[in-house]
Amino acid sequence: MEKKGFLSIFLIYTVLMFLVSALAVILFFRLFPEQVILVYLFVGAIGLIFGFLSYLPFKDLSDKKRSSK
Amino acid sequence: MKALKIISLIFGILIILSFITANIFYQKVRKLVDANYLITMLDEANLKRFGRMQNLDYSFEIFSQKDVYYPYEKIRIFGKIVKKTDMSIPENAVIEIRLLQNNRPLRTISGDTKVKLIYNPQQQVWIGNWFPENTGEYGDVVIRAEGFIDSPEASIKADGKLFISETPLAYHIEKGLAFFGIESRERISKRSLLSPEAREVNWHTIPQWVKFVSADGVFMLAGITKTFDETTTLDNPWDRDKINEAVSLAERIRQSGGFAGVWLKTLELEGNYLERVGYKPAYHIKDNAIIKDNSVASIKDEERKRHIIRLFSTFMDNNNIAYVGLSHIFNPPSYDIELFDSFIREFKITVPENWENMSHNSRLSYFNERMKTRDFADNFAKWKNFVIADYLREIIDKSGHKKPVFYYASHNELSRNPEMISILFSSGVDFIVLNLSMPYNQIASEMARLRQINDINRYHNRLILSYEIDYNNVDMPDFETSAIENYVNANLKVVKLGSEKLNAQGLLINDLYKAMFGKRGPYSPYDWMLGAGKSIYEFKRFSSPSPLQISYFSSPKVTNQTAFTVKFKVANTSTKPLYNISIRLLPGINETAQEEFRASIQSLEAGSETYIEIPVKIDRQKSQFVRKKHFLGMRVAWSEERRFDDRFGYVDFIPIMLIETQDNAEKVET
Repeated sequence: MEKKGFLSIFLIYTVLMFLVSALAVILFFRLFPEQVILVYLFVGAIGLIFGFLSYLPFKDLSDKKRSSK
Repeated sequence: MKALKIISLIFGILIILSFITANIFYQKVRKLVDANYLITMLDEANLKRFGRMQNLDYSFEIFSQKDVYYPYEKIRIFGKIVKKTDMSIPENAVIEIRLLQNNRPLRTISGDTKVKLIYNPQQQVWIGNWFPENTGEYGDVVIRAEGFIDSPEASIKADGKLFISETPLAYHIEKGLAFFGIESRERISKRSLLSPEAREVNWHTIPQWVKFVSADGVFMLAGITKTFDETTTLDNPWDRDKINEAVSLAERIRQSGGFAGVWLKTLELEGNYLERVGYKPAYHIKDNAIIKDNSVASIKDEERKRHIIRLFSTFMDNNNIAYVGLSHIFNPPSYDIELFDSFIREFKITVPENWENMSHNSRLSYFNERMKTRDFADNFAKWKNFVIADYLREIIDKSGHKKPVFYYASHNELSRNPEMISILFSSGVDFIVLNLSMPYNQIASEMARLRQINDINRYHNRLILSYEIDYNNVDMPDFETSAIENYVNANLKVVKLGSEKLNAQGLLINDLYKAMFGKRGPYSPYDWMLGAGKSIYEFKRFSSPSPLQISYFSSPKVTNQTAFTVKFKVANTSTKPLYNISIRLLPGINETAQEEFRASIQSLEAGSETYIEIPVKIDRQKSQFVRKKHFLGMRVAWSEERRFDDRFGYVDFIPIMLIETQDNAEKVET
């Protein structure tokens, strides 16, 4: 169960983060092609917010993992 | 906690979905970002640079009158601004235009890169004229306009385009053409001339001369207006007899296989009574005063223009005439002052506020005052070139341009206006007959000067050059060579030295009557005609070498003899046999009977050569003037087919110096 929980949270996070960051980078680079640093910072910020938002729905998976210990 | 989970999930999904849609509908997001946020990020200077600060309340159009312009054509540009909401026109707006070629700004003749368009209430558009400075810039031109509306609003911008093209050449004249010129203002039927046989004859012999020297035809002055003649009126402005004579000569020339060109004097008239005829005079500035010239018609005179077009069209329609020309359009720089009103209007010169109410004379004196500044006078002179180009274009276009058009120009005219050649070719003239007159020893330097200042170099294949017959110009007192020999060399020099790359397209003998009655010095008309004939022969050899090469062996100095022999080497350098070759000595100093001095060869095979001897008997007392040399004229003729006689031929001469010594005066050698 432990391994299964970790794998699923890892896969879900990776796929979602990849999707969001890829979309964000493509969009912001097209909009502001000259602002390279700003684009990365902005995308990073979005990543943090998204990460935080993704934490709650999948919190149980890691909680279960912790409780089983 | 469960609710929080759901909210997080929803937000997460929303973020993903929003990024997907933003990427799919990227253009719309771009517009949204541009419209709302980008402007706040950039400063005003940058915005102006990017041309993004558009005033969307007005529609702004900029366009030129025509799509294609030729050099020396005024570019007329129109602008139109309309307020979108109520379709009103902001009349106080100012439009400024710039012309760009490959992103490089063009300049006007006054050196400006911007021109203001002025609002015209009748047409409800802004109008401006652009007079391009460098007329040799061809290609696409962008009109960049900026409109400033009379309110604290952003300026508006619009672009238009036009094309500047080189004036296409309608007719190209052949290389190596040689003509006789007749620029006499008197009627030629009243004057006698020498025939090729040295007899006094009338003008009907001119075609014979043309054939005799193997010229291609005649250029003749045909249209003159005699203001002193009481029969000259606005209904009958031209000298009819002169026109009839020219047309009749053209017919004779055409019948004999030649080409005739006729030209008319446009603005310069004969006599000082043009106002009596009904023409408007040209004004010029002399000693700071404006004076009218009663022998020059104004370029503004519509009546004169109508008469020119009518006669020009008549010549165009006449089948006997091969070339039609004009002359005397370019006045000296101080002339054409009567155009001042148009200049001020078209060039948007700032004038006193009460200009419209000022009398004609006070306006004229204001203009005279302004003309004292060099820049102003320069601009006026450059602007006049555009007026002249328009004038010429109108004459040529309205008369149909069915045959080659030429301009008969003088050396003076060219020196006065360095842009003359470009103006003429830009307005549809096909070739120029240029009369040069300069001392023999200054030809090289003067031709180099013309090459530098004018476009002689560039347009040498569209020029027929002539060197005026004037003994004083070709006689070099300290030299052994005679005036006639120098005249021949002068003709060849002018056709060669105008360009480093090619010879002039044609040669004109200026003129037939100057050879007969002009400044001949001690030489007879026949001597000058020999010079003309030899010039034509030598000139034609530049473009098509003669198949027959004749060289003579004769002592250049003949001491005390009255009879001697000239030996000729005749060589056929072509690849075909030549027939009926004859060398005929011409009258002049030689007094042998006609039959005796004609030597002929039945046929001469290709590449072969032969020698013939011709005995010459001379009359030492024939000329009463002291000359450096005498000329033994000869005509060489041949045909390429057995049955023809004298099909081709040329005139040449042998210069002979007659020396008499006291001790041998009695000795006669035979």
